[in-house]
Amino acid sequence: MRIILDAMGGDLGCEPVIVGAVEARRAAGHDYILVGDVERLRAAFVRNKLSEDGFTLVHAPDIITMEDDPTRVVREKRQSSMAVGLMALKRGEGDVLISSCNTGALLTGATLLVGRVPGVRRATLGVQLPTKKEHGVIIIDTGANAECTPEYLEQFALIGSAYAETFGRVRNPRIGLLSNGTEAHKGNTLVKQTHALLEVMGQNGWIDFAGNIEAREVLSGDVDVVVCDGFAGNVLLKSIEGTASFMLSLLKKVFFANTMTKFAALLVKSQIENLKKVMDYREVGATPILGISRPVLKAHGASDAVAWAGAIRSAANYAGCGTEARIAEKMEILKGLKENGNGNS
Amino acid sequence: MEMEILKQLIADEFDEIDVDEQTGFYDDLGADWMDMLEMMFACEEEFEIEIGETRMKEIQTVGELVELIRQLSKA
Repeated sequence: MRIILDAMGGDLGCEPVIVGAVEARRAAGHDYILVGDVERLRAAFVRNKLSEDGFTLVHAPDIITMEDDPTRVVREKRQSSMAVGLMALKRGEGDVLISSCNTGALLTGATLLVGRVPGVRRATLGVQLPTKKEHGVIIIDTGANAECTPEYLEQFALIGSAYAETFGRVRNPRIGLLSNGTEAHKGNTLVKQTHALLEVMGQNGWIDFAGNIEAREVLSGDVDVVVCDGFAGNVLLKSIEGTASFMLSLLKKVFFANTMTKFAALLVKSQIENLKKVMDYREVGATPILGISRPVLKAHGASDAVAWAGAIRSAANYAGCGTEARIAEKMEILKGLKENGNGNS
Repeated sequence: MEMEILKQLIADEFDEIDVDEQTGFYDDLGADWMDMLEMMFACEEEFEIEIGETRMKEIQTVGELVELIRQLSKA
């Protein structure tokens, strides 16, 4: 697989990208196209005493900052590592791209430079989280589209479903709609209108719609996909991250309370390490921007080398699973349903 | 000729084939700014012109965009 890495987009510069990619190459192979200021990339290889074998360096002098306006950077920073990388992806020079730059810029850049899957109205961010059960749950959208229409959310349900089927290998994903109560009449106007659309799709067997789901049940594992607008999804995601971090700090306090509890901690050390791994975003490293016609993944802005190695693992798994083709199939079906008057919007 | 090409671009972008010069991007096609940016990029590539965001922000109807494309193509 040929993996394009935007080497300059993150907060920590190109160093962790290179170290992470070398580590990933050692573990799983692949060829890498590193996009960025070539002089700085070469210097980082030398500084870390690493070989450039398996890496193609592509020069891109501009850098997109976290403060840059997403819609303007695509036009004004065409020589940025993100834009050059996205154009290489569009031309088919790589199979997947990972960038840790400004989320808005990456979304806009991917939409404008690579293009959406036909029929998709808005690209979206779907994040997979662990649940009480063996399988994960996909929350979609987690921040790409703060303002949504019921039609966007209807599409997110299908996009999330395609992601769960292809990447999560779920045969018939159950879809829940995030709301402030499980009853159909609960929620704001957007949620109620979306509920009506998804209910019709569910009644006709086009999706497995489980109805509304409350935030406290998101990690129960009862549904495979949770649909929401980007504002609610982002608040939900950050709340989960914050709660997880708080719980870990409480656990640490319990184990470090006295000699006895410290001894107890030693006995369960490996289990605690496993728990920390489950909660560590670096293990996954990157999340796909769903609805773009070619695979694009967003890594955390502050990704270190461990996170980059995780991001590359995720990207390689994602790029090979055919989510884009499945989304295209679902959009085609949705279009047919609307044209035949089977959808109620 | 510009109108025919633009109709195709609109069909790709908005999934709508029934458009004429009076069709409004925002009012009739339900466009938002991201849709208009995509239209701008598609037109710039197709007609080999540079529209820019400032000019694009003034466009309301398909006819206005056709006229702008004609002007920029001549320049």
